Amino acid sequence: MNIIESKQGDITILKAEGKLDASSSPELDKRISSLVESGTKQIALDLAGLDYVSSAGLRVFLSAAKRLKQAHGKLALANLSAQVQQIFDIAGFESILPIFKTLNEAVDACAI
Amino acid sequence: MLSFAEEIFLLALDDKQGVIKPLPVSALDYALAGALLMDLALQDRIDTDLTSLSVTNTAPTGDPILDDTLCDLQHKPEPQPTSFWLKHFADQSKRIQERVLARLIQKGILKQENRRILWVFEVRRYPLMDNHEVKEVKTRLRDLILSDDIPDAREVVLINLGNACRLLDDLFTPAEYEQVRARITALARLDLIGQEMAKSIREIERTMAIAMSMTMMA
Repeated sequence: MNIIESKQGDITILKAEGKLDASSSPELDKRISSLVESGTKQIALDLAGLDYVSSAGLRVFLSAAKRLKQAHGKLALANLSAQVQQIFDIAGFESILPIFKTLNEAVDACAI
Repeated sequence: MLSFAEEIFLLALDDKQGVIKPLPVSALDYALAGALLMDLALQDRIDTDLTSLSVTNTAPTGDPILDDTLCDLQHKPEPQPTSFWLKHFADQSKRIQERVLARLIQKGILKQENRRILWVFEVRRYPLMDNHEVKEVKTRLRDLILSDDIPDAREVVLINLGNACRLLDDLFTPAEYEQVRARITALARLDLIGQEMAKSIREIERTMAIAMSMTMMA
């Protein structure tokens, strides 16, 4: 899995590409936790290039949402592929995560 | 820390009587099976998606019940659906329950009492010796459900297991439970293994209900 980091003002954008499963999820989890620990409070995740998410991958989003909420920060997801949208729908992740069609919308939602 | 199988067993125990509370048919069997799989998932030994369950790390966890489960999961060369493994371990529920009980007794949380009813029937009870763990988990789940906090993966599993066995309503007054019912359903959905487990329990209940209604009509 590739993770590309960029900034748009105060908002950190992480673009995840490939598969998010048991072998790759620790990498994304570590990246998000180190950002939060170093004071980042606004993260937009661009998932356009992510074509697979397993249970282990879902737990990364859950943990990221919890960490940012505890830090009084904001997390928003954008550009879910059809496969990823399906697993999010089944697991009901829209009840705890703000999910947007475009990255611009996610970035706007992260603005504090 | 207790395993999920130990936690769900304690939640299912009527702590005054020392016996398992009345639960939906096969609920505890499937909840224990789900608990084993969810512990292995949170310890990064297995992963699941919408079609199958696969072993991702064969290193022992150090927990004999989980390690036997992990060995069992490696016997099938091809990945199987999560529902296949839930049924496989639910079918072994009696043996799993005995092992979980033995561990809770060994940890000093439960004790075993054998009593005779009418001097003939021997009844085994498991009164709580130490209710600290049970109180702690009940308080944690109640506070989380009543708040708008985001649960961690462990809390999602406990809510899922408790909801599947219909044990969470005990944590609330009837009025509170009506208010939190939708949140419980939403939180319980967040785990895919748990969803499969709840689906299996519902299917068994439905089959039983159909069988009973057919018997009554005959």
